[in-house]
Amino acid sequence: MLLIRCPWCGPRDEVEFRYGGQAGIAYPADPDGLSDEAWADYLFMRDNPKGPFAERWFHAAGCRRWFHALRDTATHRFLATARLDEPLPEAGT
Amino acid sequence: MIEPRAPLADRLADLARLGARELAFLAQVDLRCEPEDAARLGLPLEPNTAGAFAGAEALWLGPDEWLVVGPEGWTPRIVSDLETALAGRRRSVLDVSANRTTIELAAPDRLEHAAVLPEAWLPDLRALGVAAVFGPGTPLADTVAFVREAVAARRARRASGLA
Amino acid sequence: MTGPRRLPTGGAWVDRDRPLALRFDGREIPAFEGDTVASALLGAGIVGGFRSPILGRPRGIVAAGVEEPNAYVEVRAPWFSPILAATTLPVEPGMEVVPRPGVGRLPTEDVPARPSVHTHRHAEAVVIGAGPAGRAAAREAAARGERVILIDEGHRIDDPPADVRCLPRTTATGIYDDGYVVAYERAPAVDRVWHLRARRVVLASGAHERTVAFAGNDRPGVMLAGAARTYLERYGVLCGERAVVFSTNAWGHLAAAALAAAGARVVLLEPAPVDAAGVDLRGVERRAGWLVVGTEGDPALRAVRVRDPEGGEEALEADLLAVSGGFSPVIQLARAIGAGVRYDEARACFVPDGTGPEWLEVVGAAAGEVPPTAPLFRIREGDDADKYVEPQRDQTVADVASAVRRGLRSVEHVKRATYIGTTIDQGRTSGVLTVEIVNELLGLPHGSQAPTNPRPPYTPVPYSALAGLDRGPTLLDPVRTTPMHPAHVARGAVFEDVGQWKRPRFYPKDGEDMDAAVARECLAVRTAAGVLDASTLGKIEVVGPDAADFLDRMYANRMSTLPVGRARYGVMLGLDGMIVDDGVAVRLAEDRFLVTTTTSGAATVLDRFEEWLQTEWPHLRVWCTSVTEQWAVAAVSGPRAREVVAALELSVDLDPDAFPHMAVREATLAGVPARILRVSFTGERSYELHVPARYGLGLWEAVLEAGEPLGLEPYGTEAMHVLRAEKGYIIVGQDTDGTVTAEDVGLGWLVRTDGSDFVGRRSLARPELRRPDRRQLVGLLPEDPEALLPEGAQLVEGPVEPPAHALGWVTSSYRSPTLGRTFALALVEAGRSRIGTALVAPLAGGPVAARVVEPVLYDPEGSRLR
Repeated sequence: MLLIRCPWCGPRDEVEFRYGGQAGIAYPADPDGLSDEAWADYLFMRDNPKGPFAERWFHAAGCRRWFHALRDTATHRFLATARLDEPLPEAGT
Repeated sequence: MIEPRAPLADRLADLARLGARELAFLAQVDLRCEPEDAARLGLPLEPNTAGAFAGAEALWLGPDEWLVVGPEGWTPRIVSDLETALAGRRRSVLDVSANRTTIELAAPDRLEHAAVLPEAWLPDLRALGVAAVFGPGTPLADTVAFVREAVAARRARRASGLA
Repeated sequence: MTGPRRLPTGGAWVDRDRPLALRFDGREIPAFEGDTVASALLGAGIVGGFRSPILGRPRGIVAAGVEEPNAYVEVRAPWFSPILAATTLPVEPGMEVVPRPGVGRLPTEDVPARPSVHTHRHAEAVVIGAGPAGRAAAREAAARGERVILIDEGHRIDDPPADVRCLPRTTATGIYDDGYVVAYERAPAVDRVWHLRARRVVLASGAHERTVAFAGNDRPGVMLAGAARTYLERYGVLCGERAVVFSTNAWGHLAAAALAAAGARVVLLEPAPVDAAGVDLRGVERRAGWLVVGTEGDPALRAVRVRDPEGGEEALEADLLAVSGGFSPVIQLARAIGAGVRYDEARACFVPDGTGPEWLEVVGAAAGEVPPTAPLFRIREGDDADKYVEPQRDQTVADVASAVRRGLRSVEHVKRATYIGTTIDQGRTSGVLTVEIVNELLGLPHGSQAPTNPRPPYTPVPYSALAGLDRGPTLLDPVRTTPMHPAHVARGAVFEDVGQWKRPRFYPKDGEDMDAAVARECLAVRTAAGVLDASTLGKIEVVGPDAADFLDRMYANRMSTLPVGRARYGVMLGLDGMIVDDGVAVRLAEDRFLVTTTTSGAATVLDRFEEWLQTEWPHLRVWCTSVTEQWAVAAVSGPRAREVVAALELSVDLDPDAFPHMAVREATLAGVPARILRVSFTGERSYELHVPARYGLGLWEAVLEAGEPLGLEPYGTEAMHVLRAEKGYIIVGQDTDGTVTAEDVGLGWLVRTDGSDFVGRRSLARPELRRPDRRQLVGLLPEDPEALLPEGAQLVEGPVEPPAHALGWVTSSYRSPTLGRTFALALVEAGRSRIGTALVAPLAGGPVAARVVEPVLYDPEGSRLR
C-alpha cells in the first residue's frame, strides 16, 4: 500500500489513484503526417525501464487532478511528484 | 404535487440506533471557477480546507472546484449569489444537492467501535490539522468532508479490487 | 482442581480463582483463566496428544508461542475455527477442541464465522513486540509526544508504557510500503484487522529458540528449553520432574536453573563451552562435552540416550528433554519488505544487515542481541532418518541429504523438493536448521546461504477476519438502487445486476414467467405506453465557452452544430478507432451540454474527459461535472406517451411542432423542476422525464397513476433490450467489444469526414480498419421462427463440415411479440454483402439455420418516433 504524495492533497493511500503510464507522450500535432507505423508507435509502444521512470498518475478519489511522478519501477519508491505545469526532476537528481 | 423522499428514508431506525440521522436535503452546489476569482470570493485555496461563502460553507474539492453547502432550501440563493459574484467570468455553477446525502453522527465516541463508518479509510487527519472531526461546534463542512472522503475512498478501493 | 503437572502456586498469567473446563479430544481438562490450550494440556500431564500430518507419528507440545510445529487444534466451541496453534489459543468458557494433524477442514454443517471489523489508524511509531526492547522504544516515542501503537501476539502486555495504545493478542501479519502495517487482533468476541500507517516501524519481535536435529528429537516430551521455562513462569506448569536440558547457550542454561528451582531434578548437557556467569546453576548437574544421541519412550519420553566426550553412551531416565540450540532473530517481516541479513558467527544466526527501508528499525533480540552459541545444528551419531528437521512435513536430515544428493544446492530448491518451510509455521523452527544443514552437506561455511524468503502473512489469518463486514449480498459489493426502487420491489420486479446497480429486468404479473412478462411489456410499449426507470444512465454537465469545441474532439460526429434545445446521438471512439461509448448529447445553452452515457460507462467517460482536458488541452475553457445521481429519470415510451405526459401538470407545450423529436425542454412537472428529453431507445415516441433524485419515486408513481388508465405498463431492461434490438440500435459492450468500429455497426454515416480532428480519427485510416471483410452488424431470422439462437453462438456457412471457418457470432437474441417470431443481431465477416443468404449456427443440439437480413426489423423509416 504505497503512500503517494499528490501535489495538491498531500500523501494519500495508493488506492485513491489510477496509473496513467509513461509521461511525456504528447498527442501528435499532425496525426495525418504520421505513417501507420509511427501512429501505431504512438498508440501502443512505451518504454519499460528498470529504475526511475517518469509517469502520469490520476488522483481519482481525491482532487481528480492528473500529475507527474518519477518512480523507481524496481523498488516502487516515488522519487518525486509534480503538477503538470511544474518541472519533474530528472532521474539521478 | 410530487413530494420529495429522503435517500435513506428506509433506514431511519438503523440510523437512530447508531446515534445518527440523515440530513437529506442540504443545499449543495458544485462550483468551478478560476483560482483568482476564487481568491476574490474568499473561497478556501488550500487543499483539504473549508471556508465560508455568503453564509454557507465552501469545501475545497480541487484547485478549481468547490462544493458550497448550506441548509435545506438555500440552493437557489447560493446559485444566485455565485452567478452574481462571478458575472462575466468563466464559471460552472451546478445544483448537485441530490448527488449526495449527508449523515450526521451525534455520538462521536461511538466511532471508536467502528459502528457507523466501519472501514473509515481516511487520510491522516491530525497531520492535516483536523484536531477533532466531531464535537460540539464542529462546522458542518468538516462533517460533510469527512463523509465524502470516507465514501469516495471506499468506492475507489472497491473499484480497484482491494479490500 | 489442578492437574498432575500444575504447581500449587506460581504462574503470572493464570488466575487460579477462575477455573475453566476445556474439552480436548472428548476429555475434560482442568484449566484456569489465562491458560492457553497448550498450558492446560501440559498442566494436566498430557505429554503427547497430537500426531504428525504425514506419518501419523505421536507428537507433543514443543514451544510456547507461534513457533509451535505440532500442537494444532480445530476449535468446535464456542465458535468454529479449522486450525489454530494450541500454544497461542487462550482457553474460553465452553471451549471444545480436537487435535488436527497439519491440515484444517471446513465444517460440514452451517456454523457462523466469527464477526470481524477492520479499522484504520495513523501513528508516528508502530512498535511490534512488547518485550523489553519494544516497551523501551514505545516509551521513548511517547515521551516525545508521538502517537505510538504497541502490538504483541501474547494475550497480555505486562507493565504497559503510559500514553501508548497497547494491542495485545495482536499479530503484525505484514509490513508493507511506506510504513503500512497490517495486524490481526483476536479480541474476545470479534476479530479486528488493524491497518496502521506509521512514520516509523520498530520491529522488536524477539528471537525464536532453535532445536537440534538428533535421532528421536520429535518424541513427545522433547521441548524447547525456553518454552519449558515459559510454562513454568507464566502458567505454573512444570513440564517434567526428571529433566535433561541440552543447551548450547546462556539462555538455555537459564531454563535449566528455573526448572531446578521449581523442584525438578536437572541434568544439563553442554556440548560446547557456555559462558553462563550470572546463571545460578546450583542444584543442576552440569556435564560438559556431552551430546544427546537418541530418545526412548512408549511413546512419551522415558529416557534420553547420551554420549560422553570419550564416546561412551548411557540412557538417562527423563520425562522432559529441553533443548536449546541457539536463537534466530524473528525478522521475517523485515526481510519481506527488503531488509537484508548477514550471518553472525558468534551467535550462529542471521541478523539484519542494516539495509532495507529507512523508516524500519530492528531492535533487541530481533536485531541479534541473543547469547553467543557454538553452531550446533545436527548430531552426527544416529540414523539421519530419525532426525526431524521439519516436523510439520515429517522431513528429516535424510530427506534434506537426499535432495542435496540429487543436485539441489539452493535452499529455495530444497524447499520445493521437500516442502520444508511451506507449513503453517512457515519455517519458523525449520528454516535456519535446514539451511545450515544444506550448507554443511555442501561443504560450505555456515551462513553461506540465508533461509528462504518469507512472505506475509506472518501467521495464518482467517478469511472471515479479512472479510470484515464485507459479507453477504449487499455488503460484499455496494448495491446501488434508484429512488424508484421501493416501487419496483412493491410491484414484484425481478432485478438484474448492471454493474453495481439493481435494475428491474421484468415485472411478472399473476405467475408469468420471464418470456410472458417481457412479451406483455413489449406489446404495451408498442400499442399503448410503457415507462422505464432510466435513472442509472450516466449524465455529465459540460460547461464553458469551449464546451462545443471539446465535444467535437471527443465525439466522431459534430456536436458544435447542435442548436440550443436539441439533442443528438453520438459515438465516442478510442484512440485506436474502436467504439468505446455512445449516448445522447443535449444542448441546454450556447455553452452548456448535458452528455448521457451508458450505465456502466458513466465513470469511465468522465475520467476520459478529464484526462484529455488536463493532459492535452488545458487551454480549453470547459468543465465537466457528474450529475448521474442528481437526476432520476422515468422514460415514457409508446404511441400514447404524449397523453400520459400531458396528464402530469407539465408547463410545456407537447405539440410535436413545438416540441419535436430529439429536443429538450426545461419545465416544471407536477410542481417540481424537470428536464424533458424527447429521445427514444424503443423506436416509439418517447419522453425522458428528468427530476432531481429526491422526487424520483413521486414522479414514478405520478406517471403510473396518469398512465394506467391509458394502458401504460412499467417495463424492465429485458423488454428494453428487445425493443431497441428490433430497431437495430446497438448496446455498447454487448454488440461491440472494443474491436468494433462505427462503420462495422452501420454508423459510419455518423463519422464526420470534414478533416477536423477527433479522438480516434487517425486510426480509421489504418488498412486494418478499412478491410471489406471486417465483421459487420446484421440481423438474423432463424428459419424456425420459434428457435432462439443463444447469444455468443458462432456462425458458419452451411453445410457444417469441420473444420469450418467461424464467420462471427450472435451478439443479441430475443423473442419478439411485435414481429411474432425470434430474431437476432450478429457481427459477421462481410455481413452486409451476405444479406439475403443463409448462415448456420452449429449448436450442441444440432445446427440452426438463419437468414441474414438488415439489422433494422421494425419501422425502418422511423415514422413512429416523431
